[in-house]
Amino acid sequence: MIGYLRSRVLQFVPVLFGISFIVFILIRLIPGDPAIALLGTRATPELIKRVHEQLGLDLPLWRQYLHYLANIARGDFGTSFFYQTDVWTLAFERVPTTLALMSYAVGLSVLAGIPIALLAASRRGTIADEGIRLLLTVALGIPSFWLGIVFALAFGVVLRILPISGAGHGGFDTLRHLTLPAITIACALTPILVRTLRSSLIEVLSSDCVTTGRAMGLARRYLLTSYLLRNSLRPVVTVISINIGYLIGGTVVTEQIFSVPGVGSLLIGSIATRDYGIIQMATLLFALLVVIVNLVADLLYRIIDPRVQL
Amino acid sequence: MRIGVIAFIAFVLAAVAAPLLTPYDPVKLDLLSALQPPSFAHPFGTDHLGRDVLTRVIFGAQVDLQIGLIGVSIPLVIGTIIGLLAGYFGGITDAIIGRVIDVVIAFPFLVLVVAIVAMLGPGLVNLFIAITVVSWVLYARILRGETMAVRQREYVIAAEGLGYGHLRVMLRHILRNAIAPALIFAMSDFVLDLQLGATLSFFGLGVKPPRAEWGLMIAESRNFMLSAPWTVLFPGLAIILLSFIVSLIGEGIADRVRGFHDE
Amino acid sequence: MTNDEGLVVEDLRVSFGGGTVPVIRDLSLQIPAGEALGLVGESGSGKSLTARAILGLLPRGAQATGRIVLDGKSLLDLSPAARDRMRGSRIGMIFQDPMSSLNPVLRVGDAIAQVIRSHEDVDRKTAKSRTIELLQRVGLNDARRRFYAYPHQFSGGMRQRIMIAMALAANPRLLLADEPTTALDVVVQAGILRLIDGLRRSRKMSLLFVSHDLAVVSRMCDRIAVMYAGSIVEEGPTVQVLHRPRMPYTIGLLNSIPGPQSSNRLAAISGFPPQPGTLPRGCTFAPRCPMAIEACAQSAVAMVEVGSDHRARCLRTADTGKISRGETSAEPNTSVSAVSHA
Repeated sequence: MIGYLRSRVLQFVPVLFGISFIVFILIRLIPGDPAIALLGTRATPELIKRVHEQLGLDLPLWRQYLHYLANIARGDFGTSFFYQTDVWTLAFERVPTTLALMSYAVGLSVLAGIPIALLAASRRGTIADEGIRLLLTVALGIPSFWLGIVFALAFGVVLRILPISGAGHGGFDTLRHLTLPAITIACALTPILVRTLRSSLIEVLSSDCVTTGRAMGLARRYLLTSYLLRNSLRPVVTVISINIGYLIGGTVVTEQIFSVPGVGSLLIGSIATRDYGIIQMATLLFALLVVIVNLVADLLYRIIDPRVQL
Repeated sequence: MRIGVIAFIAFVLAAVAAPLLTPYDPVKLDLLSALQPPSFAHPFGTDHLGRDVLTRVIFGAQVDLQIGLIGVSIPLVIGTIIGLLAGYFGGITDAIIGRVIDVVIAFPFLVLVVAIVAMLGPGLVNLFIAITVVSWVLYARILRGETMAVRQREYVIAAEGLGYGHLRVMLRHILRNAIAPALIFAMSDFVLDLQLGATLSFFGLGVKPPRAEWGLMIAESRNFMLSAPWTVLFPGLAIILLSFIVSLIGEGIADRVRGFHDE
Repeated sequence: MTNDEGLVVEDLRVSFGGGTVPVIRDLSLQIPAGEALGLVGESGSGKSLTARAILGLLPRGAQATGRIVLDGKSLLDLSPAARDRMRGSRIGMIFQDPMSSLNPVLRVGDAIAQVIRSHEDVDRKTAKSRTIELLQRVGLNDARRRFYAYPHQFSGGMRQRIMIAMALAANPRLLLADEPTTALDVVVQAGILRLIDGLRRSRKMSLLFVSHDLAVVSRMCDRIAVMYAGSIVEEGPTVQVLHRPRMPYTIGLLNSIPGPQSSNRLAAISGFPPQPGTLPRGCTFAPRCPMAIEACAQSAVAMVEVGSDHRARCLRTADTGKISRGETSAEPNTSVSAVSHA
């Protein structure tokens, strides 16, 4: 198991380098002198020169990159001029909130998605099934930001049953605060999940092992859990890991709308203040998240299916 | 599901013919008529600046259709070429391109586009650049996989009879078979880009006011949601509707292709 | 109220497409408690479907009419829920491919224990000990440890034994076996067949053994029923049917089995069985039958008694009787071709 992990992580090393390179390049996209952009209104010729030296902007590109990598190795991701603290601390302390929100959303999606997919699969071809598929197609076209503000209005302002900003003070309070955002994200993820799950459930329902189970007279509850659900875990993991980018996108948007203090809202907020260091950091963190999720998915496959060799 | 195609064409025509269809000016202020509910004169009502919502929705279609179409077609072409080359020639070309694809794909779509637009500055053109730079890999990946699969089959036949000089002919052969999944994906990519464009405009990173764009319209009217819900409702519905239509087209193509994929 | 009558099937009819496409017609058979009936036929003859119909697990779109009575209880009259309860507890079934039939993510012991607990109100410990007993009974050494293993860790023969254990877990009165040894190699086959036979006798279960392999069936079953195109065309004690077949199809079937005494050429029945929707008007075998006469194609043929408890669905049983006794050879227009009958 450890050996396998090691080899997988090693596989990701070139990707990690590539990611760091792209993030590094991002700053060079800014039209004009990045130093001026970074310094903003505080730009004086002297400070500009210092930033140039700091970032090594006068060096050839590849040397700049090495310089950048060296900084990262030391844990120095730059300083945020807006917040006056180092970028890493700023971003990192928000990670748990974002992860909590994403997990909450995934949980809701799975909880809602499995019954819906089961319904559609078992009544395949009927009006219920076609109706569900139609709804899914429509749902995929609903923009998250729009849904978010509608939910915020309906449940937060009009009905006043759920909070619409912030992340609460931990524990149950946080759960309350993250509920509306999580529902918003789940509305975007569930259609995708149900689509794939429905297909795989249709396959499972007509498979030999389910037929055998029925022939043995297995009780409904066993068929449902041990046969149907267990065999649909795999597609759920697949869907989530493939669509992690989409999930992150939805999370970023929703964080901003509901003012959830996560990495996503940090990213969007930094755009207005031109805090390029943070933008780079947030981008890097999200890319790392994608890589980690893929790794975790791989591990989960091994746990779910006893046939797969460790 | 070819109803979708007809509906889509209707959309496009409406957008192109926008100035002809609408008696109102999409950008001119008319504060006296601000925030009027839907009526005969203003079927979708007016916004906080007195502008007719229906007019702005139709004009907005121009921008959003552009976002979808350009955001799909350019990456489609670039990605197809690169993916085809990678899958066909294999070797070092494939190794390098494959690595690049892996790296770019590791970034969440929205995050990377936002980051690029943040660096370049807001605006429609920068949005196109950002989307193009990020999306081409999605097509390249599909084409690469398909090319490698088809290459196994056609290669033998081609190698026997046609001979080396017909590389180009083979490219055409392979392309015909390999392009189908890419086209199906293009439909969902359209929806993705449309949503992205609206989202970015909502956050102020896309189209600049006073241009009419659905996401931007929603952002501008956010404060009036409670008192004048139509200002937010109709642009949202427009996004949902267009997305739905294009999704239908995608499903239609997928159904057709399923029949003869193994040709 | 149940008795020990065993299985009685009368005029079973299975059709698809809302009754328009009949696949099984006028099928009747009987298996008293403790006896074994072999159901043989080529692929597509409907033998597997017959077993499914008895079990009550027909594929989508299929309907069954007629009478199926097990120990006095009429099965087709039952509600779906009651039918569900019958499966496993009164009727057990084992299938052809044990790899795809066993749930790969469940431990073998858990799978069987679940069956027990689905039919009886016992706690986990009891279910587990009974499972271990079952596993031992079907020939698994070290059953206590094997309880925790997964299907993929066993060989084909062992998996089939596990499936048998599963089917018998709730003590059914009737066991349906659908080609249980077809996917196994010959050596393993013998062991499985011995196992099934032993279990049948010790539990006094009725056994319906479906197969296309006449040799296997002859070893296992007291009686044989031969199926062709959805109906039984000959039925009787195994020895009689195999040594004195009276229906031309059965004769052809037996002739086409290569044996040490057969000549160089493989005799096969020319032509192909009819498609489900296109059954001919009279005898279904008539188009291919070397002994067919005009009357055969006119109307459906009824079963005719040709010996003690031996029936054949043929108009020419008088002549086929002579062939069986070796008094005449088969008609000159028996064609010989290389077409396989499988």
